[in-house]
Amino acid sequence: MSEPRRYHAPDELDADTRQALINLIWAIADSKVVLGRRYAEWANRAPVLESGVAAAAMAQAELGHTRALYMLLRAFPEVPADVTDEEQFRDHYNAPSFLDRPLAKWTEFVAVNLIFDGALTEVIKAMRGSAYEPLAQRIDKMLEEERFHQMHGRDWLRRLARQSEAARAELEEAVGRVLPETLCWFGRDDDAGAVRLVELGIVDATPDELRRRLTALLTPLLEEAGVRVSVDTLPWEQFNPQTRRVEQAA
Amino acid sequence: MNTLEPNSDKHVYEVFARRKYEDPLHHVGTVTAPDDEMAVVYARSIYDEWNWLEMVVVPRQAIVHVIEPA
Repeated sequence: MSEPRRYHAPDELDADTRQALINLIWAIADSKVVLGRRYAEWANRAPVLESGVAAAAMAQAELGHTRALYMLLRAFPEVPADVTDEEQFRDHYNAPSFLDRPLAKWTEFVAVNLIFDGALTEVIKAMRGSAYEPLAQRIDKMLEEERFHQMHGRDWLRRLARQSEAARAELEEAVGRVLPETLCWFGRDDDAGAVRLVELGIVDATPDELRRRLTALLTPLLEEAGVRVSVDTLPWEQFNPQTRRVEQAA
Repeated sequence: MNTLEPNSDKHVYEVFARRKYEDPLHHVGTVTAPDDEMAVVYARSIYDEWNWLEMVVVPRQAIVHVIEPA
């Protein structure tokens, strides 16, 4: 069997594949910018000092990943220069709507830490050994750091769920808000760009497979914590595949 | 403000690390955490001043004294 082809620069990819890859990396990078900012806001507010330090460290890691991902995007001539300009805040980021505002409660922080940061990690994991070399080279360091984010989210889920019925209920509400949009964030399964990325070995899982992997990871944790959230239907009508956001009605 | 109180079940962990293969692990500090997993997360966040080759946490309770200070 012949080795799958590997790609070293954007111009080795056709225009549709480039567009699909730009959309994916842009969504991950922008989400990490906003997530990093939301984490940082809790550096001085977490329930215990150590988790404040952990929130700051997680923010720093997310912003570091962003830098690496924007560097990848800069190689694509189609990407506007202002997107990868880390010095300037933009008005709009391709990040989920639940990150539009600061996370009001620690339970929200924990839900985002566990679920959305978990989703970002799943998609990054799916690019381990990616046929797009510049991407493949960045993955291991990101995953090594994300391991600690997942431990932090998991542990706090258990602690809050044990702490009191009020905390468990608050957590359940936060998970109910974060989970549906996160599951949409992977994109529609019939998205031609996503299918192409899998065919070329740039990503090793379709959006449905990524949803399945994240759900398999979260379900036992949520069940163990007694956090019951049923997601029967996803809000696809409001989902914008370009920005990967569920646009809330004004 | 957050109204949730942290759990009171906290343990002290001693943190050891080394930067090079030829170095021994040495004590870099302590963390207070409810369990081993959080001790790992906290140690990693707090003692991040170097690119460590290895870092471990040891529950203080597990330490067996050979010589104890008077």
